[in-house]
Amino acid sequence: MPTIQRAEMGGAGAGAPRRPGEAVEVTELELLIQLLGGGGGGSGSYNINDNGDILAEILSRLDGRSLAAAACVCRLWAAVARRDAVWEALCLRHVGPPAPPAAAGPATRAVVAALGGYRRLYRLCLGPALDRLAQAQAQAVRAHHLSLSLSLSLFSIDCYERLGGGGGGGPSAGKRGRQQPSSLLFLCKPVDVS
Amino acid sequence: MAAAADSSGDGGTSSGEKTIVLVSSDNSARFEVREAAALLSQTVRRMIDEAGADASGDGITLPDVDAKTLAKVLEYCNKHAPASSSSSAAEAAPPAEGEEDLERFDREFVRVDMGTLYSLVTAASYLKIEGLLNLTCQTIADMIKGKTPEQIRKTLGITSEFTPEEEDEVRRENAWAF
Repeated sequence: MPTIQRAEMGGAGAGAPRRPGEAVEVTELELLIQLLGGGGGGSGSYNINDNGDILAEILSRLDGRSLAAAACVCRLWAAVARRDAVWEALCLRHVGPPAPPAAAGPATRAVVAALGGYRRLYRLCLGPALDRLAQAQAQAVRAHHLSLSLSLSLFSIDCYERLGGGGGGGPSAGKRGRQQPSSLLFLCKPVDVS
Repeated sequence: MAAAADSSGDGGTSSGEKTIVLVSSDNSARFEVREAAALLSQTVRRMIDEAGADASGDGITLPDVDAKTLAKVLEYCNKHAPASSSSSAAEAAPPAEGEEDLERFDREFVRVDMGTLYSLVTAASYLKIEGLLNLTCQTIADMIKGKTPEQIRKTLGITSEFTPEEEDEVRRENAWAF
């Protein structure tokens, strides 16, 4: 069994005093400053929380569920798991170009940003789509890819409609948009065509 | 990955292939390696390009990699190096070894303690060796996969400093996945 020396997290409390019940999103920089105060150790020990970028490299290779679990491990992990780049890596692994390195072009990033970011995209669209595919009986890999592309397209259209696009007109129309049923609503649930 | 005692840095192997000398951070160890192996590191490649022709005179010092880690990294590079080094992306050329052989090597390569594994991740990141970075990061990621937060903490020796409120908040934020 490898010897793992526990690195003490420096400073039990956070820097600024917080009111009880207030959950504050601590920035990564604050966390690293806290951690570098304590921690470290003798030779042979390691601290996986030494470097946020290294941690991001590792977390980028997780699946969606594991990434969500990782976010609950500690403050630094929560902060790194909030980086959209980590979720981007995950999304691109499923729908990105086959040849690595998987990185989205600036145009794609702009579109995804408008949709609310990769994390949201995974939570609302890709994650559920992948779950459905996992439950479906053995599909060809090619069909997986098409299913995911279709889910992404529908998701984008739905976002667009909610923003009041497609003839909705000005901001007031946009506000009403939420109360009008989306034209795609009937597609939100799997349709049995047997 | 023999440690050359007083290599001029421009030595060649018996087959006449160019070698490069890499020096660990504390200057305690010098390694003479085939150019093809050394160039798997984009960082080394850039250092050579920037320094010009007479760079390899004293060997290239790598300030962020200690001797023990560098030895292990070079073990990987030697195994994964292409049969010949060409000036254009060495990774594009197929490695000299067979694929199954490499997979077996990789599996054994990462059977080390966490301290070493983490040092390898850091070194691979600094040296920009894509294959090694993928291998080591994926190994640690595989240790995390499918685990609950508490299990992850236990495996990696992490203490959570969340207050109960923060813990609730972050679990709520991620509840969609559970």
